[in-house]
Amino acid sequence: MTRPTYSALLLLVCLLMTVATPTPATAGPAQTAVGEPFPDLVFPTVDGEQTVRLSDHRGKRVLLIEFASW
Amino acid sequence: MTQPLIESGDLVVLGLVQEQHPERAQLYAQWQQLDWPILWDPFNTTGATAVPNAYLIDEHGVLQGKRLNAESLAAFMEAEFETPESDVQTSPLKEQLWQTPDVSEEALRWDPKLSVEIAYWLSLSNAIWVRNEHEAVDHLGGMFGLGEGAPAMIPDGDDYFRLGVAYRMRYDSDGRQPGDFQAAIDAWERALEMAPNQYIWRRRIQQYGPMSDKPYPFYGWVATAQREITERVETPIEIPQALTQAELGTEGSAFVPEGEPANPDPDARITTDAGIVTITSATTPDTQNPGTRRVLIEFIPGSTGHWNNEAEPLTVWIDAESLPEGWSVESPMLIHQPGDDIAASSDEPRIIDFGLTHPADAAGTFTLTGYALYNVCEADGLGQCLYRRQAFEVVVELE
Repeated sequence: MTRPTYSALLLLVCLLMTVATPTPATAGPAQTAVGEPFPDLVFPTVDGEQTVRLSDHRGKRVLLIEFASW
Repeated sequence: MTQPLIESGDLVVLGLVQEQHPERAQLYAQWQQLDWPILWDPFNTTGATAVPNAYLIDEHGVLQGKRLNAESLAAFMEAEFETPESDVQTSPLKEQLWQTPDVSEEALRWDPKLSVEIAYWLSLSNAIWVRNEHEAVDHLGGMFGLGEGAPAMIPDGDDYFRLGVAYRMRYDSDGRQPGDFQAAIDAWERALEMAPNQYIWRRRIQQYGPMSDKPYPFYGWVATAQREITERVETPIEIPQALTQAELGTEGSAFVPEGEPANPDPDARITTDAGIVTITSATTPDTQNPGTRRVLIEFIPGSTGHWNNEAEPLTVWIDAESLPEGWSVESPMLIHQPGDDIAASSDEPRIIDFGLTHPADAAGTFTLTGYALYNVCEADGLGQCLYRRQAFEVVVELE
């Protein structure tokens, strides 16, 4: 059974802790206002091969497309 | 229009998928030939209430747009942005946890409502699948008042939704515990009660729920994707968790005999299975119409057996006498359909799911009974293939 690489996920968690801010219920990055810093999120890729942190792309413009496969 | 921008290095495109099962998103990306990284957010940590969304983030990490169209993207690429001052601060608590090698255990000692909340959830998934720490989920369920005793904290909708994700993750892991899937459904129900307009949460329930509650067939695209990928002479990404009929959006979890099917073993003459196959069950509500549920029964041969696909198919019988007055099921008999290309033997979990209706005002705990007949072969010993019977119960709790 394919599993994400969770050692990478653990790293992800550690990275997140340096940037996470208090999160009220049902709030989050999706509620970020235009002109405000977008939270520096870190996620595993769906193939579990790596984690991607948004700030890894600092210096470039990022188009983040959020969708569902259902 | 984005391709030249990507090739020039001026623009990075990232996908972010709201999905419980990452392999399904992989298959979707393979089918659609998406060539950008697809990130996985099972816990809905972005807080999005619906999808799709697009975020335009400038080179300094500042959000410059939320609505995607050709004009806004062009304007985004042409604009000059100034470097803002960073307001990110690190609290002593975060620094403490940063130094903690075992994040999950440490996080459990803290109130999950602290600023490490998102990290906590991600670390929990790590605990479930990497270290096989089942207790972490139960501990959390207890803290939220899902077990016996008073809750240690008052959860919000995010907490309940993410707890449900964790239960479902454990259900899909080697450390699954009885009742995990039902616990996931129950937690998602609580979340949705708190925020009925949160459509990410609503869809997670509807995914497994009654046909009457589906705005569209959630995974109806899978068969087409697999066929078209194969036609491209590629191997489709494997989906380890079997798709239920509820997820496929097709009526009937299995072959349903026409007319009034007869009880295939009314006198219980078929020998009882001594433990080769494990049976679990869960029911999922209709998020809009009380009185309809989807029953899911899963059969797992585990390490001690495998299915004999050249013999009698898995058959489920629901005892009519166990249904309270006013209750009904789609059919008392359902027969599993393994598919045309199935091997002579296999050991995959098998799911039969079907519709259940009851009075909308029914409340309390109800137990449906039934049994399954199947042909299963021993994995050890003489390796005999045996026709076996196993009784099961489906517990339905209605508030």
